[in-house]
Amino acid sequence: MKYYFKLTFLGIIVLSSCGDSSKTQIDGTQQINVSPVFEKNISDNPSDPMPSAVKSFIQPIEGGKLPFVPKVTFFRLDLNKDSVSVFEIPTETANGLRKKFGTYDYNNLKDDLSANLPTLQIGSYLSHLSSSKSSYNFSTTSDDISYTLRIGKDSSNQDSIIKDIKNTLIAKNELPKRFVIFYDTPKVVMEKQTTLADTTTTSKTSSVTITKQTAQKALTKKKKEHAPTGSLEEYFLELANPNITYESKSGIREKILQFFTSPNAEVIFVNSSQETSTGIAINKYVKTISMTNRKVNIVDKKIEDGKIFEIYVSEK
Amino acid sequence: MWIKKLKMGKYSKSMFLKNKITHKVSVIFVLFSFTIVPNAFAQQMSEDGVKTLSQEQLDGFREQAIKTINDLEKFVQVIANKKNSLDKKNDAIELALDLFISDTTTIEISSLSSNKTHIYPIGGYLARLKLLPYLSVKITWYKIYLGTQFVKGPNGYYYGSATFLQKFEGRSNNEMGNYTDVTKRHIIIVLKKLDLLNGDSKTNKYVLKLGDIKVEETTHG
Repeated sequence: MKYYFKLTFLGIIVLSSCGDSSKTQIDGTQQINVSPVFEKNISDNPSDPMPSAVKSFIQPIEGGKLPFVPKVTFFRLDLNKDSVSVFEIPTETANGLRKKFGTYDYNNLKDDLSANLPTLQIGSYLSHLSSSKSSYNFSTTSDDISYTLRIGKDSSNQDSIIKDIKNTLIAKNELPKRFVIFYDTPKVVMEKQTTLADTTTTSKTSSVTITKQTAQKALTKKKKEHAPTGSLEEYFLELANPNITYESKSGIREKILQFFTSPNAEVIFVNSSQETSTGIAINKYVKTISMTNRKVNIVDKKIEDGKIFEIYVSEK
Repeated sequence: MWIKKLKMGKYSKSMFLKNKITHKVSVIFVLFSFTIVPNAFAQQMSEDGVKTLSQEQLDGFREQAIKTINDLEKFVQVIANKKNSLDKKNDAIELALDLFISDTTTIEISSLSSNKTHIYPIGGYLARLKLLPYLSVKITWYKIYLGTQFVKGPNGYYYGSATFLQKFEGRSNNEMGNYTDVTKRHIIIVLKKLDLLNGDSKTNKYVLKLGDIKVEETTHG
């Protein structure tokens, strides 16, 4: 196709462009170099959902506030020229801020984005942007650990901080008005504190990657918290309980996913003794059941290495 | 005005025309599909080595189709309900979109105050459903009927349809007032063929997805 669009993306921000946003300070003794991993966001499929980096970017921090009003730029590439869509939050006050500094409500951002979809004509992507689901997603496989960081501004000390999903302080940005975007596992490199001049020459050679250890620790903790103690059938029964709110069922969903080889394990429906599929993966299916409260009967399951990779269900 | 029911943003003319053309093409294609003698066509496809679903398998998908439409109704209710959290609404949007065959699937919107209907991408429609400027919104689907049997199209997909009535109730405490209507809707159901490679052999698998949603008529109910 001659005009085959490629959504690469980059969403970026920053009301202030000063300095290098990848440099942060922590504990006053060590410098952390944080590098966004953008290459994973590249997609050549126009129907792909919004890149995770953008999702990460709009995660709310404590209290549901975003520290800065963002500007997000989308790059759509075709064979002949670059087509760039720029989205800017409508501003009601000066200096590009809709609300006063530091109090831009996450819900306002979502609504603003939604309201501007037709103008941008990239609705299918932006509609995903308003989803906050990725913020608390912690997807793991045996050899791949990933999680999404929440990025925000600590109202107590007015410094930009970066926390993981467990609210653990990962990094602290002492330079104000700055954003760092992460995608999946952040590449956090801890170094000895150096002068600014030293950093430019030594950071790459003397760095020690701590990403894996940090993530592994979080993973272990996470696994312990969500380790299933009941049976899969029991958890499905809990999901169907109309007296438990959708939000309260998130822990049950996590436990169910522990039974599967991957969140994308396929769900096959058995209707009238026939197998049918809607192409829905288990991670989506548990959300559906959480909302519809339908009772699930497990008909069969295919297992690999002790975990389910395909489940056959009928519904009541 | 229809805007009263569903406040949409501005739409570009080119995008509207594109949707309109897509809509026409899809309608023509579905009509074409239903005029073909199913058995003769199935036989032709079988000769080409493409899997043809048995009547029992199609019956299973018919049952699944009703469940899928019920799911969509539930998601629409969650999205429209002002009492639900934004996270829950957004999850519902995502789950609802997964039910459709593609991002280009459209929904036709009508209103009692206008003879014209408008066609919008399903994603945009759902995203705005949660922002309707009413104090409360209640959407109910009932009298859901599956139409004809599934009929196989030239692309190997199977096509069917269903109709249902949708009651929309929007309540407002401002000058907008309250709004209620009942719309008879028609929805395309598609059994999408997936080609799976297993070593050197190629097999087919079908998944059920929803297609365009049209308006047949809108009344006061």
